[in-house]
Amino acid sequence: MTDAPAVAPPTERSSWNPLRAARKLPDAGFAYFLLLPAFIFLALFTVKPLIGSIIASTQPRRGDGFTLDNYARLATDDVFLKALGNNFLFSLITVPVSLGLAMLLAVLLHQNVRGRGFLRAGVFAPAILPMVAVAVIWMYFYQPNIGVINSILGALGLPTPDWLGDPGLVLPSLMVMMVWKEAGFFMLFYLAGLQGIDPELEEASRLEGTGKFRHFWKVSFPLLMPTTLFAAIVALSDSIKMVDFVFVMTQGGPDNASNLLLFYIYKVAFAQHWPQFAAAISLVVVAVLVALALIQIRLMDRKIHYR
Amino acid sequence: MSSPIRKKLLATAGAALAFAVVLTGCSAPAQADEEVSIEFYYPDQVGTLGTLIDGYLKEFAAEHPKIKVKGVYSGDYDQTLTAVNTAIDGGKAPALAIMDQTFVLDLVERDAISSWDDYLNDDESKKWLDGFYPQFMKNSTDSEGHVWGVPFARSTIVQYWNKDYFTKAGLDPEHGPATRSELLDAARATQEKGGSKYGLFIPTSTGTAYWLYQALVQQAGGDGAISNADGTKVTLDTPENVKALEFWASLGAEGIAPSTEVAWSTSTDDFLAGQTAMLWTTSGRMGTIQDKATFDWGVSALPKDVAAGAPTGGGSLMLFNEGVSDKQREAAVTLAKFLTTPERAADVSVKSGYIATSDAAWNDPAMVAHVKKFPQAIAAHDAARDAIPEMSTLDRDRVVYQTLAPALQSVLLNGADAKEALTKAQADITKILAEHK
Repeated sequence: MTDAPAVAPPTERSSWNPLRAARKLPDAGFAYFLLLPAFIFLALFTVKPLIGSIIASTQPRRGDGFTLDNYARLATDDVFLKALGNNFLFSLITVPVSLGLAMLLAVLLHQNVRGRGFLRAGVFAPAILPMVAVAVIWMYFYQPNIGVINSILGALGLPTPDWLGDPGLVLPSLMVMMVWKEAGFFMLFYLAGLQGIDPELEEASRLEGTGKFRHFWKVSFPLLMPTTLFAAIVALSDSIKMVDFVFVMTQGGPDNASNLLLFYIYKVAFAQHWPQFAAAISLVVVAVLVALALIQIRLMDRKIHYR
Repeated sequence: MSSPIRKKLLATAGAALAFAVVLTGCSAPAQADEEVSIEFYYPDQVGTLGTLIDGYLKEFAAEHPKIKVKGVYSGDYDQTLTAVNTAIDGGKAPALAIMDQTFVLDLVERDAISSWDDYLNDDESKKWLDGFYPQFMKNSTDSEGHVWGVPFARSTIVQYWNKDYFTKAGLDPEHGPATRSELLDAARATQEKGGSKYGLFIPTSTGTAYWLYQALVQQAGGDGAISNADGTKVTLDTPENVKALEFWASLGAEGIAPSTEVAWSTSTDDFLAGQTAMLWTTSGRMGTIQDKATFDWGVSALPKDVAAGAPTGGGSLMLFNEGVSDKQREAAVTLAKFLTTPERAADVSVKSGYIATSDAAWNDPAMVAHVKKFPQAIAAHDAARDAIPEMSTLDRDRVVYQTLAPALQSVLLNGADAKEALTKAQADITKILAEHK
């Protein structure tokens, strides 16, 4: 520190400075540089677990080695087959009903009715609620002795079934709740879709004397197809991945009547501590979902008029 | 991208990076090295334990300032198992946890917990361990005599009855039914003359059906334990097993109980709301019933049929291995001894209704005073005398929840044939257990 140099030593000037280097990158390179954090997270939280699951699914429960037993076991695992059947029914019914109801509500609330804003907000409200909150609310609706539904039925002198305690009723009861939650959400997409349709078409229909239903069926419905495709894919994946209510309301019972795939995967992975088998089930479910989405896109693509 | 914007972006990123480095420096741990900190997971199945344990941990902190205990409330027993499993997979298990006593076999098979005998070699410790009632040690001790769990909150099944309904039905309100025929007579009388909607609730939920079924099998003259000590074999297809399940199903069929699920979680509320004259549930619910009942109620051991008895239940303290140092293990043992002294066992029993775990606790002055004021507490203590071990097997979740519970429910709620359902469950469970040999 005796004779401090007035300028920085030359070594520092030529050393590699990442900020300076980044400044000199070509635009495409710089774009990738900015995307790097996103890629890192995608790799860390999506790609790596996926590869990890594929590897885990081919390992035995104890010890090392390669095995396909986990996949073979799927065919004989009664609870998996039951959950698969339950989920199939659950999706098959809740997806079209939710979408149909959403479209109906959207068409009704697209018109100039009194209190339209209030009604729209009311129908959309369930979509904002977290699934767990919905489950707790509906548990009070369904409670057999003091619940809302049975209180009304009881007052009218009608039978008061145990909605969640009867193996035959539990799945339909959950479906009703799911439709209630989902319909408002998809209505919003349909409303947006309807607003995107040129109002001149409706005027033309009116001038030609076309009925309202015919106008909907021949004009609005086909033009809403892109929305329907999108909503159908989202609804299908929701019907498989939104299972919070099973934890809160039924724990998959009684008699496994409300056991759904994701709940079963959770049980196998954590409660039974069998991550290898859980990975095998997960991969099969993902494969089925991807296949279904592809089929949906292919089938509907032919009927969709993109503008 | 234009150069000035790029410059700004990079400058911001640089500043953020520098800031992060400074922050990391600030948060460097500053811990005195003779201190030890451990995690302790505790579940609360009945709603009164959580506050009690919080209080004990505060007392412990005052008494042992060098041991920092991080108490983690972990939901019910099954949620606690999930939490602990996740912690083990993450390489950092809690040093000590209250686990359901039936989790021992699976945890030992996975080498997740350590036996207590390695840490309790002096005479005083042995005396402490030997003081616990033997029926509460059965599920925690293996065939070679190693002890894996220390009793904390222990229970058995008892019957509660609503004295108002008994009086209205012309029954003796001071004595609950002592035999099966008295039980059925009382149930029908309270419904027909007492004004109760239902006579008797025996919960049929997935999580606890096996437990109540054990009592019924024992009473039918069968082996109520259902499983062997090593958890490698179950007995479900004897005539006594079938008889027990048929009796249970008959309650729903004859309208004494609902023919749909009698939910474990809400059955106590139903009893408190006057929906049923009698309820079979854990003695651990006595505290809740004492607090909330708006009518006089009685409690006693379950009525006998061919034989008497009910399984024990509840949690034990277990020592976990993954990522736990020797020093932490030592601290965990200290905490466990602190939590299970006779005075605290008595306190747990007084405040929650769980059963005093040793004679020392039962004779503790606080307990004696409580029993004087509240003689119902004797019932649970008496009921525990005939208690049998709780059903426990390897791969317990698959065996008990996934196979046995649905089999029982298919008969109770769906009208399936008891013999067929049990024979199939026996075969399925044998297949599951065969993979563990």
